[in-house]
Amino acid sequence: MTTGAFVDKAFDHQAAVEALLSDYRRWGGDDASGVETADAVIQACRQRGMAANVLHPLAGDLDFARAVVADGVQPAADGALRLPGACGHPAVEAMAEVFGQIRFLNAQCRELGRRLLLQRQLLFCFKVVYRSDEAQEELVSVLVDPLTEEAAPVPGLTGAQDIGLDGGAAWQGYALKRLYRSACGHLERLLAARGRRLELAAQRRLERDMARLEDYYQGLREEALEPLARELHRLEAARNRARLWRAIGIYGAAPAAEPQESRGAPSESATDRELSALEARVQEVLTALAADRERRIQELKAKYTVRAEAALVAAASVWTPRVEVRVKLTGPTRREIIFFYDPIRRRCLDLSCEACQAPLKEVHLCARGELVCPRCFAPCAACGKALCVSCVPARCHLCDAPLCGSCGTACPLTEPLAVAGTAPAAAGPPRHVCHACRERTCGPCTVLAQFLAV
Amino acid sequence: MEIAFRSEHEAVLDALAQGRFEPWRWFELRLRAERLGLTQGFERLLCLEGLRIELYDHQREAVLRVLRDMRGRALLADEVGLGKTIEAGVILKEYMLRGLARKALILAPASLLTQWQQELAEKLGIPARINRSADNWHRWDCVITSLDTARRAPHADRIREIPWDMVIVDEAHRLKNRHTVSWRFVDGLTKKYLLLLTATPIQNDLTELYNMFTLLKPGLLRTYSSFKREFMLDKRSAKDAGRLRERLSEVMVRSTRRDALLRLPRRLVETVPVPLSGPEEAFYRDVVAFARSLHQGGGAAGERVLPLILLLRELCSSPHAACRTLEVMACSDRLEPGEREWARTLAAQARAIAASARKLAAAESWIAAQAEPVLVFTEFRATQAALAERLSALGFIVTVFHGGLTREERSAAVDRFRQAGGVLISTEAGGEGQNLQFCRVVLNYDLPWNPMRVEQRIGRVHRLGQTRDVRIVNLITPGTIEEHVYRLLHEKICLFRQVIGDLDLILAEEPRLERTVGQLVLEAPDEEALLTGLAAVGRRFERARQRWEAIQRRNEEVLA
Repeated sequence: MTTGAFVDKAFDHQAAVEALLSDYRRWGGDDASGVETADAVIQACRQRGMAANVLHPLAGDLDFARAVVADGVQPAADGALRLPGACGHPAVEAMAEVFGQIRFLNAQCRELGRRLLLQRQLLFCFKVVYRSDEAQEELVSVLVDPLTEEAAPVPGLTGAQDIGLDGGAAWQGYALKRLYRSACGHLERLLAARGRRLELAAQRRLERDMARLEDYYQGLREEALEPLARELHRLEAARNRARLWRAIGIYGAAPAAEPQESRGAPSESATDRELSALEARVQEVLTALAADRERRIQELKAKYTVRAEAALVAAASVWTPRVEVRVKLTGPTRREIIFFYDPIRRRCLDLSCEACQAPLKEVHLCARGELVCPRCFAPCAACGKALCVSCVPARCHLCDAPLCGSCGTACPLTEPLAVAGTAPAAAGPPRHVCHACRERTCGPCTVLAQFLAV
Repeated sequence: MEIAFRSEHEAVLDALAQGRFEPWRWFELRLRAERLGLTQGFERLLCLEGLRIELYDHQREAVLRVLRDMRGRALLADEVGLGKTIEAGVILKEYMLRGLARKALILAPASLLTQWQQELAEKLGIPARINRSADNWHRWDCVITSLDTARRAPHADRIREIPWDMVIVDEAHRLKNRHTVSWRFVDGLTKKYLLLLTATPIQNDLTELYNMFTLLKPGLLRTYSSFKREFMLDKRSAKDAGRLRERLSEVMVRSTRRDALLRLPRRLVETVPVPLSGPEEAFYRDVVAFARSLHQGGGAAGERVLPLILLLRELCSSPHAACRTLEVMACSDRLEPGEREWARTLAAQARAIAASARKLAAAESWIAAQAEPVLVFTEFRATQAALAERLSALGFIVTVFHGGLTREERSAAVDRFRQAGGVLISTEAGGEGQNLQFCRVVLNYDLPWNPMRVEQRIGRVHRLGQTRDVRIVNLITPGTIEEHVYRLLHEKICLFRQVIGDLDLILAEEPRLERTVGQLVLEAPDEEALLTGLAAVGRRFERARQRWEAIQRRNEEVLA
């Protein structure tokens, strides 16, 4: 979760600064006497607390611990894992809800025990700045699990307790960098989504400005073309007058004197030259306008482009609780499994389909003892033997139904066929047919096979 | 969206790797502090907390409007004296604090460059540099220069190459004509934010308004033809003034004193004539004759103008001030032996009359009659020292303030004056940047020949925050150049009585009054010719002043 909403108008900044200063002084901050302005208070506080080593509030929560390790948990008749009756603790309720969604569909489940463990994770706190024509900042905290390298935004850790400040729990440099990179990767995905809102707002402003600009340049273009149109009219009229004058000269009696209005009228070639020159000038203006418009558009785009910048401002080593659950499954085979529940992310770990790695909620136990999801569970179409996609030995080549080794029937066309007087035909890979398909389609094939054999 | 990670993570990761953990409460405190330091748009002004500057309500509103609604492109058109410069500085600082601006270009009139630099440095902590070299445009983040320098080769091309985050143009009425090099230059700059500062966007006609707004936001008033059709009745009157104002308000902030509920107290001007004694008058005449002789003597006369003008100004201040220059001249190789001897004689004359200078006595008796702190201004350190010595000997509490003091010494001097009262004797260094509103009496021991400097002196006490009427007392020596300069400033520009504001507009006719007066004195064959020359300067000032008043009225009509 993000700490620090974008705009909170009800927030009393002055009061918050005063409270901060009061705490700073109470805890004996250095040079507290010189700290007066909000900036100075903030700056002073930034000098401390870069890293911490703490126990997650849930890890020190005794009610949670008691509820988690309580005895007498048995799966319900529908195969779901059930925790003891609701105790009102939100973390326990959440855990009960997650457990309630796990169903062992073809096996009896007996819980062998539960333990509460502590596991160290890394909390990275980033300050993120989004910049376009304005700036927005927020703090984003990401918790990274060193086992899975998965990162997740986390709520605040109010009530966390210090645990060992003596440096006994330092992190290895390589692991640390990997985890930091993983946090950065997560943050990038998160920011892309969060920045979308700002991008849309900036986009709206950009569009408004662009529309104004387009309108302006359209007007300028029209104004630039106006003299050209006027001139064209004038030249067209002059050209017509000149043509008329020549026509009169050719077909009529030559007038004694050149008519007044055609005097000084340009010849056709002169008109064309004038027109070309004018066109060139207008074209020049239009080109300049286009370049100018392009420059302004680029300027606007640069102004409204949203960029984000993240800086790591603090990090903490957080000892988080983890619930280890041990259960025994009895079904097509017997198997003891251990999985973990992560109360921070509110999900089970190590309980994923062993064929496709998808998180498991509805669980099937296959005959070879694998835990698989319904999509990967593939019982034999003939005898119903619990199989999964990893262990199914054969499939019907017609309907693709899974078949166990004993139920599969060879396709007559793929069996080596021996015809009298000839060598046996080369056999292809063995193909299987389920009972249903064999009854439905194998009769003609058998006849064909026999015919070929004869 | 482009996402960058800053490299400061190393320190944090190091702390983890070495197990340098701190108590959780400090960690939490740090995060709380970070959260409080977060920028949320432009809801609040960040720089006010860090710099302890105080803005008036109209300034705060203007800054927030520019940041929030106008997105950094605005015309700041507050009436004179309402603090446009500080508004622009705060806007720049806010953008800088939010990481939205780094490269800033400030284009101001040459006479205001230093003032800009000081205001930015002292009030806003922005290290701006005045640049006149072609090579430094890329080097510094915040550069101040004059429009005239910037638009010229080779600077113009260099400046145009840089994508500026913020461009500020002070006295932006210079961009009133879109066919000028200046307008085209500013228009051609690549810039994200643009602030134009002027109290009088309309100098002559509405076209100027169109040109300036097109610079800020092309298309806001559409094309010029549309603007003419829609908003211009004729060149000077608006057709649909209400709608025009509405349109302009998208990018213009204009506060008047009435809006801001700010009324500066009155300026009460007093003149204390201090006639010269016989020996003083003789000394005055001799020095003027000496200066004229050197100037008219040919040779290196052109080179001598400035030192001679300085000598004349010193002469008007005190024999102590003049004595130093005369002593230097007496040893100068650039003067003929006869001239050196003359200078030596004059220096001896100055020393002889220094102790009995009438101005010193007049100042002393006038100050003694005051019941409140007095701020005395003089142009010269020698005069300052003599006056300080004299007053101290008589038991006055005297504090001196000059450009040779360090920043700490300056603020200590001001604190002392604030707390102990008495007399603060300041040179021009005290005329800039110091706010001394707690005092309301200014004694001009001598008068700068530059009206800007006079205004700066008065501005130290006659400014926003001053609640009482301000007394401005000028010690004037009749029959000297000082009296002529005083008449020009007082009668033609009305400098002492009211805030003129756009002084540079009035002074455009006579941008270097100091030199003009000096040359008139040096070149005039007699007193009558001098008076005729000064009268001509006075008339030019009067016309400029009337023009300025007309401009004020025109702006009021369209924009108010």
